Order: sequence, then structure tokens, then C-alpha cells
Amino acid sequence: MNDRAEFTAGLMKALPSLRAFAISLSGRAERADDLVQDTLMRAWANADSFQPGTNLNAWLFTILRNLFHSEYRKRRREVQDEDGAYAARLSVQASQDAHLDVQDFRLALESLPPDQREALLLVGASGFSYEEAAEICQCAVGTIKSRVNRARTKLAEILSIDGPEDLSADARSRSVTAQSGA
Amino acid sequence: MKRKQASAEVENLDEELQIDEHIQRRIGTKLRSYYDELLNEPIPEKFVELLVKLDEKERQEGQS
Repeated sequence: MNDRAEFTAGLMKALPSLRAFAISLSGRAERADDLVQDTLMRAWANADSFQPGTNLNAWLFTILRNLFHSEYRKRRREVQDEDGAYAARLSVQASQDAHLDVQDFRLALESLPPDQREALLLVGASGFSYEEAAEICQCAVGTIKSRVNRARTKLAEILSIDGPEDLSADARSRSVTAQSGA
Repeated sequence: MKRKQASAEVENLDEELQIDEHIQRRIGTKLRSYYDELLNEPIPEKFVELLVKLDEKERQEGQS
């Protein structure tokens, strides 16, 4: 019973990061919430197969990721079409607007292939090591490293992060932060 | 043998794709500010309710 209570507390604690991962993986809030709900149900049903003391977050992320991909495979054609239209819109936007904010970053992230996006999210945002990410994605550590690299290269390309001209934008946001006293 | 070859290929790929540290840092900063916003979003009440419900059901079953 104690184990179960601890397990439930662990699920509660994992909710924000599970949801953030689901949203950034699927790109849609409603779909993300379905993913989180399915993950919780499946985790609960399979609680006995979780070994206490091991990484609960990695275990939950694995479930969520597998659910996402089984659904993604089903919808593959539909999603590819959307991605194509999306990338087209994005490149227009990137050339028209030099100011890059969180919204632009989200769009760029969504245009990455799912395997690269998830590798970058796991390592660069969710705080997993390359080894943990490899376990979650059931692939080799080298594969994760190369996916993360490809993702970064692609993002730099889409967001035109290549030279010192972007430094001015950084300097501006830094001075704004300084003024606001943060 | 085959696996060794494959991992060597991946490593070569890594070197080719190694990107500028400065660019990598800036992407990291953008990624984290994007992600922090998501992490700070309020959690829908339905998830907490679901867990409470599952927990209660478990307790009841444990008692009977």
C-alpha cells in the first residue's frame, strides 16, 4: 500500500513534465492531454512492472513516447501532409520576420522530424542524460547523439542562427531583463 | 562486427554535424525558455481527479 501511495505521489509530481513533453511532442494541447491521460491509465495498470527505486520519470516518458508513436504511425499520411504545409508556411514567416520569439521556436521545433524532436526534448529540455534518452527511445546512445545534433543544426538553419547579427537581439533581451530587475 | 561499423558511422556523422558552440548555446537557451513556459502551465484538474479516483478504487479493492 505504501508503495502504491508513493507511486501515486510520483505520478502527481511527474504531471508537469509529462504534459510539457506531450505538448511539445505532439504540437497540439488537446491531443497532448489525451496522451497524458492514456499514459497515467497505462502506468497505473502496469504499476507492478515498475521497480521502485528506479527512474519513474524515465519509465513514464517511455510509456508516453510509445503511445505517441503508435498513434503517429496510424496517422502518418495525415501528419506528413500537415508537416509539408506547415514547413512552407514557416519558411515564409522566417524570412519576413527577423524577430524570433518563443512562438517562432515552437513552430521550428514542430517542423523537425519526430525522432529528432523527441531526442532534443529529452536531452535538451527534460533533463535526461543521453543514456537515459537512448533507453526511453529504445535505441543506441550514438543514435540519440546524432539525432540531437541534427535537430540543433536544423533549428539553427530554420531560425537563421548563424552569425553575430543575432547577438544584438540577445543583448537587447538581456538589458530588458536587467531593467526589470530579474 | 556489424554493430561496430554502424556506431563508427554514427560517430563520423556526429563530427560532421558538430555545430558551433555559440549556436548550440543559443538554441539551448531558446529551447529552455520555450519549455519552461510549458512546465509552468497549470495542470488540468482532470488529471489530479483521475489519480485520486484510481487511488480510491485501489484502497477499496484492498479492503474488500
